[in-house]
Amino acid sequence: MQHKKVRILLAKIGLDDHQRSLLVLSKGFRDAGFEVINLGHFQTPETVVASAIAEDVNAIGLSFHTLTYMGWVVDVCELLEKKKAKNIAVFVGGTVPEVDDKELKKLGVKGCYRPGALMKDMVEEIRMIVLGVKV
Amino acid sequence: MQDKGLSLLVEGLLSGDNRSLTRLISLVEDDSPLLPELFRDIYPIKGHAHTIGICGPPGTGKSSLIDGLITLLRERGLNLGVISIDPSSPYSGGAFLGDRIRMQRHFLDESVLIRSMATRGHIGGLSHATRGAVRLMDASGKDVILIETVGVGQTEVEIAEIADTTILVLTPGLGDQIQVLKAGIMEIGDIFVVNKADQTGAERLVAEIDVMLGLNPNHEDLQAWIPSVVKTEAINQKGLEELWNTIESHLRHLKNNGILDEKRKALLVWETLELLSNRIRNRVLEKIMDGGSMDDLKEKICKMNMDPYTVVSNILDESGLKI
Repeated sequence: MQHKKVRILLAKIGLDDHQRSLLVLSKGFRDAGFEVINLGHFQTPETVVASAIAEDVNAIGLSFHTLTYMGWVVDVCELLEKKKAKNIAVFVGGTVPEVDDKELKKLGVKGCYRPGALMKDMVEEIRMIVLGVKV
Repeated sequence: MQDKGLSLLVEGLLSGDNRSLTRLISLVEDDSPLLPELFRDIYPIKGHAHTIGICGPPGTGKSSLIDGLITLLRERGLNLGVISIDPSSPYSGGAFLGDRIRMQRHFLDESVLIRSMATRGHIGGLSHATRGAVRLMDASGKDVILIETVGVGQTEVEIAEIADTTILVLTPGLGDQIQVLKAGIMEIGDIFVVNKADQTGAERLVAEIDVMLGLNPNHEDLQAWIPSVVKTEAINQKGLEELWNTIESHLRHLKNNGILDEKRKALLVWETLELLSNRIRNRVLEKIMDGGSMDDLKEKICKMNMDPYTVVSNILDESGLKI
C-alpha cells in the first residue's frame, strides 16, 4: 500500500547543535511537494524510529555534522529492522565522507548527500526511490 | 471483509495497535479504493472518545498547550490520539508539518499517537481525511482525541462540526484580536483560552472576551452552554487542570442535554454530503476531461476566450452531461 506523496521525517541525532541544514532541507523538500516532519536536533535513534512509525512516513532523512554518524546510522537501521519497518527508506547527508558509502549501502541506506549536492537532484532521487515515479 | 491486508490492519486497529491505526489513516489521506470497505466495517464500532478541537491564530501556543494537556491526561492514565494539521502549499502541494517538534516529551509514549496531517488542498481548516482519522482513533479505543487546526478565519468553523468541544486559543499582544476576528470563529468557541497569561494585556483580553460573551443572547436560555474563559501558561504547565475541568464539564453538558447525539447525527449528515459532493465533482470532471489532463482542460478554457458562464455551458454541452 504505497503513499501518493513523499512523507519524510528529518532529524539530527546526537549532540550536534547545527540546525540550519534541517531548515534548508525542510524548505527545499516542501517546495518539491513533500510532506516534511522535522523533529529537530538532539534526537535519538529511538525517538527517530518511533516518530517515523507513528507518522507512517516513507522516508527518513538524517543530517550529520559530526563524525560520529556511523554508530547512529547503524542504530537507526537496526531499530527499523527490529520494528519491522524496513519499508521506510533512510537517507543520510552532511559531513559523511565517500569512504563510508559502501558501509552505508550495506546497512540499507538508500542515498547519501554531501556538501555540493543540489536540492533538485536530491529531490528527484528521493522521489524516485520512495514513490517509484519520475516527475 | 475481502482484502486480506486490510483485514489485518483492522484487526490491529481494534486491538489498539497504533501502527495499524496510522497506516489506516494514510489510506484515508490517499483516498484508497479500500475506503468504502473499511468504513463499512468500522462505522458500527462505537468507541467512547471525547474529541476536542483546538484552533486559533498562529503563534498562540496551541501545540504547547496540547503538549501540556497530553502530560496531564497521561498522568490520569488516558489513551490519547493527536491530529495536528498544517497547510499544504497551494503551489507545490508540499507541507511543513511543524507541530510534532513541540511535543518531544511524548515521542516514546506508546499510549499517545501524534499524527501530523497536511490539508492537501482542502478548504475549511482541516484535512479532508480528518473525520475518517477521528473515526479510526475512536474505534481503536482512544479516550481523548485532540485536533489542532490551521490558524483561524471564517473557514475554520469546520472544526466545530467534527469536535465535541471546540477551544479557541488567544494570547495577549496580538493587536485588537476581538475586533479583527470576524463572526464565525468567535461563535464556535465553547471554551476560550488566554495562553501566555503571564504577558501584559492578559487581563484586558479576558475582559474583552467576557464583554463579547456577555452580549450572547443565550444567557436567557438556562439550557445553553455559556462559553468560559480560562487563563493558561502552557509552557509552565499552569491553568491546564482548570482547562481540563472546564472541558469535562462541557462534555457533561452535551451528554445531559442530549446535544451529543444531535451533534453526532449532524456530523454524519455533513460528512455524507461532503463525500457525495466530492464524488460528484470528481466524476463530472473525469467525464469532461475525457481522458485528457487538467492542463488540457485549462488550455481549452483559455482558447475559448469567452466569459466563464458561456464556457461552462459549452463544456457541459460537449460532454453530454445534462446539468
